[in-house]
Amino acid sequence: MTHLMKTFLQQACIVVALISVALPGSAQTPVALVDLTPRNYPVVEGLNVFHVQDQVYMISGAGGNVTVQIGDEGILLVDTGAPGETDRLMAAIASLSIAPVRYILNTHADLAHVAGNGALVDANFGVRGARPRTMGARPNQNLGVQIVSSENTFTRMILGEGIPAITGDALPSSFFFTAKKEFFSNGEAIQMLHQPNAHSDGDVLVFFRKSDVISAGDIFSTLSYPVIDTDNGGSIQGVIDALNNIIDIAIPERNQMGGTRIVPGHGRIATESDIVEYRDMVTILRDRVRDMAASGMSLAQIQNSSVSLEYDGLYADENGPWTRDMFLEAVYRGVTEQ
Amino acid sequence: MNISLVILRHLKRSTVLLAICLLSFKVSAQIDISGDWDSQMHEDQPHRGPGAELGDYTGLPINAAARQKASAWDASVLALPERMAQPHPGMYAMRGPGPNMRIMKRFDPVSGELVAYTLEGVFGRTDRIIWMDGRPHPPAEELHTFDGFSTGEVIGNQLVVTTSHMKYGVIQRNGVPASYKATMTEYFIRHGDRMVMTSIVNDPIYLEEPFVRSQQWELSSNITPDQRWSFEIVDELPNHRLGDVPHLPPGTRQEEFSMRHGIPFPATQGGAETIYPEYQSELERLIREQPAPLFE
Repeated sequence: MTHLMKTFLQQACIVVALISVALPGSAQTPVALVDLTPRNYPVVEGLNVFHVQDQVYMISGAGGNVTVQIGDEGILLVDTGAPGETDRLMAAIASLSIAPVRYILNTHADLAHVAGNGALVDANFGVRGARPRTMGARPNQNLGVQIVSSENTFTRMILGEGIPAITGDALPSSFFFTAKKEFFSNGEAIQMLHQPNAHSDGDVLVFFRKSDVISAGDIFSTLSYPVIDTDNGGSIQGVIDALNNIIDIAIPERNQMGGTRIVPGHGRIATESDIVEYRDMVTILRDRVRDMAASGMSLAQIQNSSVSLEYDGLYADENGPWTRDMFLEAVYRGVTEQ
Repeated sequence: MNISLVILRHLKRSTVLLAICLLSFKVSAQIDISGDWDSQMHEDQPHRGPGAELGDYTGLPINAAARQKASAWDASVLALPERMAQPHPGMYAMRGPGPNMRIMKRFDPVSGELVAYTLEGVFGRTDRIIWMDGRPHPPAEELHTFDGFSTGEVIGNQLVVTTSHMKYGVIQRNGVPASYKATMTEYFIRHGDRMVMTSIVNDPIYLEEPFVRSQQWELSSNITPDQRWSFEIVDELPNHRLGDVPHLPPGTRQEEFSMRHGIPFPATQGGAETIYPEYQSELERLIREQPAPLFE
């Protein structure tokens, strides 16, 4: 191990220790014993940094939410934010740990979630492994970043399907076409679980097994109806199946409280009960649209009805880019084109 | 005589010193809600105890969105394993069942200042913390909890508690919803060994106006707060599949309450208009015009 690496790791350990001391535990501690220390909510370059659970953090405000796992081995990121946000994102990451980034896991190909891939690779010793490098020879092939995604996400990125084509070191250097990919990072098992035909055809959930955190990507948002990219393999049933998979994996600590945390693609940190509410909403609307379509109603008639009245105040954004009518159209296509 | 003068001077000095000491203490809170509290179901017992009947939205200033959600609510949803152990959210937890509560004070061990009240005993043991040290509420992206995030301050003889970051829940146990955007203000007032708490729920998604309710407790040394810390989840439906979500079609009319009690159906559907005395004339018109009840 080089002296530089040792120094980085030592400093990373100090940062981790400080953060661990400053923040209260996440368990369902009886209120009589809860730590009285006010919780810290750092804002770095305008981005909010949240401690999710154990060694997993969330950075919000840089486009899609970014999940950060810190530890002795370096940093693992889930997604890398939107165009124009990478500098701020890197500053926010550095506030958590100055260790190098070693993994970037992309949950899907949307630009709001992958725009920082290239810059983060450049800033962290390039691409890891034996691939031909664009930055010349390096003394240690263990340095650098490995970007991992599903094969379908890689295909969308390289072909520019619905997004600007992604090239060079910003592309995943590893992808998988099976149901899951598993590895170890910073002392915990990481599972990337492919969710077919959900938001798109390449979505993955990232499950941090020891920290008990799931990064859900755009399968789940607390701010909008689920975005369903039907032109790229997304479907309402796929979204529902993926949400049910999250519910299957997540375990509350007690009485639907605490336990597994879920980091959504957009919005606030959640637990299983939040996923259940969202899943119920999507399922109920699918059922209603299906029944309305079966009764002969057209898409326009459904969109002009009060089918989603009780949910619009929470999830409809008529300013877009994803509106209620677009969501209903995606649902309609899903229930009528089977 | 000299001795008397000396004594008198000492008394004067002591009195002045005593006055200075008393004035130097920070003026303490004029209300202390700590103690074991026995819930008094003097208001709304049928709603808070056994629970409101389906279709009974009387007295609730709900809007059309809330009404649609409530009328589509199927109680079978509570049989789902993922919902079975769900506690009451903050905007309902203080309503019932009970709760008999134990409220304790937490002090800073160094300064001795009151940092928080802890409140134990609500159904599902979504115990609450009321922070009294002026800390701000968290950012919007922080995790919402069933009990929410509460801060309190003493204003006059009231403890005023503001709660945000509550999860989605209900304001009544027959499916009338409350959204995660709801906030709540509670006013705790003690009258000796009795305490009244008036709550005001603001929900921009489901309420037409602030929703005001009150509940009472009596200080007691003979109560036991709900000790059920963790419910066991048992799948009761052998053919249940993950993803099956019971719900009723939109537009379902929950009419049993209306028919059982002879109340015109529109009057059972809540709304701000229906909770004011001026609604009486409309109610009288509806009663005149409605058909005779089918059963009593």
